[in-house]
Amino acid sequence: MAGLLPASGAESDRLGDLSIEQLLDLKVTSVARREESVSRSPAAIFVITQEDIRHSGARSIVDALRLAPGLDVAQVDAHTSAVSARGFNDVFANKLLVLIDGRSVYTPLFSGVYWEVQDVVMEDIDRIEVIRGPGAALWGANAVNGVINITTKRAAQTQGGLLTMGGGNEERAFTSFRFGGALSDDLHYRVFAKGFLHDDSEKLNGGAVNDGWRMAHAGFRLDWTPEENVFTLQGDVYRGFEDQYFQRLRSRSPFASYDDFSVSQISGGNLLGRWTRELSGGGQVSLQTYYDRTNRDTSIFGERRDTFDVDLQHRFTWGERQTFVWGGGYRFGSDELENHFDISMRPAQRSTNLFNTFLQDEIALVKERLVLTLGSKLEHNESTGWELQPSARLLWTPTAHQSAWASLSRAVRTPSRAEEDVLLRRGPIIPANALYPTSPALLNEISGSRDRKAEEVIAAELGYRLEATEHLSFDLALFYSDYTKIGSYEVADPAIDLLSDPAHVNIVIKKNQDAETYGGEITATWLPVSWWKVRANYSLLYLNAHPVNGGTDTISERRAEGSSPHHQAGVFSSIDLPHGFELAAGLRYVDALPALNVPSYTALDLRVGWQMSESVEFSVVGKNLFDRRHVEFTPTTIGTASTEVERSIYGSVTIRF
Amino acid sequence: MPLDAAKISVRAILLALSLTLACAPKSRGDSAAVPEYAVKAAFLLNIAKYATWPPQAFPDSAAPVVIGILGDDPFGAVLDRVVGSRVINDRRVVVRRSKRAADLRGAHVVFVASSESDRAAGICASLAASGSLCVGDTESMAALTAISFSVESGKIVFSVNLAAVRRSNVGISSKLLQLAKNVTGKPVGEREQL
Repeated sequence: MAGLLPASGAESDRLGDLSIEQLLDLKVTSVARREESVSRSPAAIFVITQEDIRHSGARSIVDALRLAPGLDVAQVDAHTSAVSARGFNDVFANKLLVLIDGRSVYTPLFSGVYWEVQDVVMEDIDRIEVIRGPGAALWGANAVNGVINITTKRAAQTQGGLLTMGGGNEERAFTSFRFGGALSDDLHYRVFAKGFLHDDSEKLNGGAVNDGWRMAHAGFRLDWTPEENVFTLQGDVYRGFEDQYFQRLRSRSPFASYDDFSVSQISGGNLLGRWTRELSGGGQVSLQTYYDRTNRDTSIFGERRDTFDVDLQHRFTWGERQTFVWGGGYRFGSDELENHFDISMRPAQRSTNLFNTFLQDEIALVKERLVLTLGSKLEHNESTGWELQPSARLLWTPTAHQSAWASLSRAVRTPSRAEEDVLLRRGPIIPANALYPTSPALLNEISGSRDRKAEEVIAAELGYRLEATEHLSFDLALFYSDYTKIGSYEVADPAIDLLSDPAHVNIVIKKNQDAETYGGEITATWLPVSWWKVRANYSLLYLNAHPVNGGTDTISERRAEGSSPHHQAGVFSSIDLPHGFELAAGLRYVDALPALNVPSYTALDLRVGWQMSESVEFSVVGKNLFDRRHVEFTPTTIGTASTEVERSIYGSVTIRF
Repeated sequence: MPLDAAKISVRAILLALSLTLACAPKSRGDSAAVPEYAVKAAFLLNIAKYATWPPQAFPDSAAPVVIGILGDDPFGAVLDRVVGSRVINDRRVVVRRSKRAADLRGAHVVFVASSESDRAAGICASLAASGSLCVGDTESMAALTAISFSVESGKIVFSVNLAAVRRSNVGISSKLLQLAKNVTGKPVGEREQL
């Protein structure tokens, strides 16, 4: 970042004469900038650093994601979250691609993420990159509205022991233990185990919901770094229990609905190997493979899923101006479902093969000033066949203090397993009743369809980044996205089937909805003094959905338009105080969600940390301090409880050895 | 949540934003502290001063001490200004910048910018093999580079990784070890040298 530092050189001239002791004693100011690789990205990217996570006191990945501008993070119940970028938020939000250390964690079941099982030792996270907008050219299908890329530290960076323990009113108790060591100069490892108990949340009108949960998780990572190679082997296993409330249907006449309280079991594990080799001339080749298993056993649905993935990437420079990245991959997925009356899928077992290849070329049109990135992914899936997902991005860096970028990209989301195969029964719309005890109940039956259509988005984006002074920087992104073939619920023919048992209304999932979104996000980062950092962000979103091709689903239209906030704003401040104290505050405003009857809310989070000694740190975190409880989201598709998020306070101690 | 509280908090956010904007220009004048990279530049010079290379690291007696900057340069002109026309052991000091490790082969000290942190393992291994002393911009490279910087309580500190120093075949003065925040990679069974 040339030229950020004072142009008057007298001071820097003298610095060269100072001794190490004198240098060690100098107070320094850091420039309010993000990492170079970020400030030179032709995309709307934000990086949540380990420091950000520590200051916030976040105990989960979802918690940490609330720090990123433009992300809409809402807690549905104690263990369920709705996370989206640039609209279309839902419990089953389906337009984000999420990766943990290169492993895709979204489930093809509904093209979304079971957030509660995506867990790592928070202290071992290196960074979370949040890319808003389509990232399909490089990342592949499902990166329609964004990519969340979670990277943990290398084993060499997590040497020694780390023990965290704590608890509070909502986060009842949590502990994590990690130990890292070296087997030789170039062979490092770490092992970890963690567990927690989480309290129930509250019903809309008070009283506990049956949704507390507990989880245990353990894993390891091994890095071997001989010469220009890095070999990584990592894996983890988890098991948890979630108290669950469902509004269910009796599977026999009169098909009345009833309250079901049960314990869901969630478990899984994965093993990943990666080999990266630096090539002479700045190139790199990387080969990665992983196996992942997830199990989910609830009273209305059961799922066992195996995924095997192999992926190759090669980056090299060609001539003076071009850098190529190309690669390809194959993914095999197989599931085995346990069907119930409320929700079932046919067939109960299904395997899929996914092939992809991609090529990206970064061309320096004018050295150091103008870079054009052209790329595309070509993917073959069994539902919609070949899908081409190209993007063009232009980055202009007129001065060292500012850059502007523009992009145009196409991305698709292939239909999820549920969209194709589900049979979901809801209701009864008209229950059998005392007046007409013999009248049959009428249910809603929603079925998937294999219409071989992929949802598609074409997005145009503009961005501008400015380092106004050494201490103040801005990052602005604007977008316009055009969606076609979004899922909608259409009345089938015949609309009502009174002859079958149960009698039902026939509804089929089609793609008869289009939408446009536009808006923007702005982030300001300010470091007034070396010990104080402030970041403020604001995001704006407009979404218009409309039925097309004879579709009549105005409910989905209204839901899409009214379940993501128009306005979101946040201010995050962290202050390093003397004697090892730290004070961090986060203030978030989230606009109302009219389709879900959720009013706007403002939440204040505070954290006080005290580094008592090099090895011992205490902290107290208060979340949602403004009100005793507030609602953030309500479930739609599946009849789980509507809950409110309560004010929570927890304390923790971290010991390093 | 009552509407009033929402209004107040929106106002609070707007106020904080406007304060952020209003106060910003003043921070230029806050010059008791020195820019981070000016200090790191001076550290690089000192590190070169307290390191010794085998004779074959210099082609002839007039060959300069080369400080390489690998990756996205965070220094800009300030490094050239700090280096100025200073000499180390009667040798001129020159700065060379590149995004490719291969271009910096033969540099005596190589500063690895944070843009390269993902690739640092391979880069440092190959640079060390060609006799360069790698200096990492951030703590995250401590396990890979011979020396790595970090910021602690608003001051720059550095760590030394002896295993990485040994691999590069460069000697470093015990003064550097004494002043380092921590020294890692001591061979098993080796006695404390300080």
